[in-house]
Amino acid sequence: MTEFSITTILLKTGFFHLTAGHVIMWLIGGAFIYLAIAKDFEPLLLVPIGFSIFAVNFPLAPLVGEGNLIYLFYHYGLEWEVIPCLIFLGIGALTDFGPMIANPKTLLLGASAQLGVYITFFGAILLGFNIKEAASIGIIGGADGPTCIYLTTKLAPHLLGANAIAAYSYMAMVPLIQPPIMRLLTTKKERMIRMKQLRPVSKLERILFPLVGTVVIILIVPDAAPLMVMFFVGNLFRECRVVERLLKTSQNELLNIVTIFLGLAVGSTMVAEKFLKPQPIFIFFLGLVAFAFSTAGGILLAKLMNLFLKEKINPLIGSAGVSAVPMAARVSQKIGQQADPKNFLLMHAMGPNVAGVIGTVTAAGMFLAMLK
Amino acid sequence: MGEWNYVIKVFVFGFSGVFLGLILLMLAVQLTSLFVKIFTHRDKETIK
Repeated sequence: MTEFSITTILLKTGFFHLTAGHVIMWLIGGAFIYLAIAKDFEPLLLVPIGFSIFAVNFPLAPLVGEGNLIYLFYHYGLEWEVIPCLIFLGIGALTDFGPMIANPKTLLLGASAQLGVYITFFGAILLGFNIKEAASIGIIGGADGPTCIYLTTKLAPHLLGANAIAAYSYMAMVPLIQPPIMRLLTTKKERMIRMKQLRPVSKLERILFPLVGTVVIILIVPDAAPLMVMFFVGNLFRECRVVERLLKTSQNELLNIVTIFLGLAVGSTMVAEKFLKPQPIFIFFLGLVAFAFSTAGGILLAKLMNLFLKEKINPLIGSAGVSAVPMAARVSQKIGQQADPKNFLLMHAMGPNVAGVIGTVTAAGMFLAMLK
Repeated sequence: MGEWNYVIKVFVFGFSGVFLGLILLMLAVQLTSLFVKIFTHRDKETIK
């Protein structure tokens, strides 16, 4: 029998081990929960992430150490790469590639909107991050949460919490960040450009796209295969129309279950000892830079393309090249309608929007190929 | 200096790799659409 007294029992309570850092992290967790509930900022992720931050910052609580509950979510879900890939299955099942197939030029806008990823990569190096950390921070500019998590887990796992929070926070703030940049880089005349209605896309083209996409992307960046395979198989479920049950599960139950584990696992990386350093502040700043440059990259390439194209494209759809589906496309539609209320850009903007997802995964694959 | 060379290489190869990937995908999509158009058109003629 172990000897114990009132003192030893009291020492085993959390009170004697509580630090100011823990309390600060509770406040940060509480702030995320507040933003999610009161301001509707990415609530599906910020509620579990916020609560996880709150929960893992209790001293002595067996949650994050090896073998403990939330550690298991982190270990099997993120370290084993399962969660981001399963989320991509759901995203693929929800994505309509029709607008992109109808106007494949929009793939170029998805590529140019990765400009922020590479500018921020440079910026992070200048701020003293090492090359792997810089790549994981740069990918925030792709506005694609699962890809950001996937790359960070592989290159700089100690930055996972800050990177994931920055990526999802800025994705929620797309309607605030993008419009000033869009107005700054375009004239009213350009914002009023009306685009020709997209052609209908046949069922066969839709079915073939995930197969063609898998071949092209995996041959170029094999390191992106886990994400791309899940993305395209999800999309095949959607387009083949013979696996309704698998489609519904991928779009709903599975995606929701995995989102719970993702939120808890990401939040668990934000323990006071690791998080309360200057690094996360730099990451939040760099994330904003990344989003701004990605938005600008898409718009500027659209303007450049207009110099050569007979049928002009509205440069506002370029900003939708940052993945953030479908919020970035909705922002293009909104700003376009402010210039011309009868202009409907939403479907045109969905092309670069979904191309941006593929662009970000390709950028992540390139980083992995060069830095892993 | 050596590290900066590497950083610049990652920047150049990475960004151009993204463009190359998506340009090839664009061409593949256009080619697929073309084949689909040709073959489905022929099917329709055959049915007639």
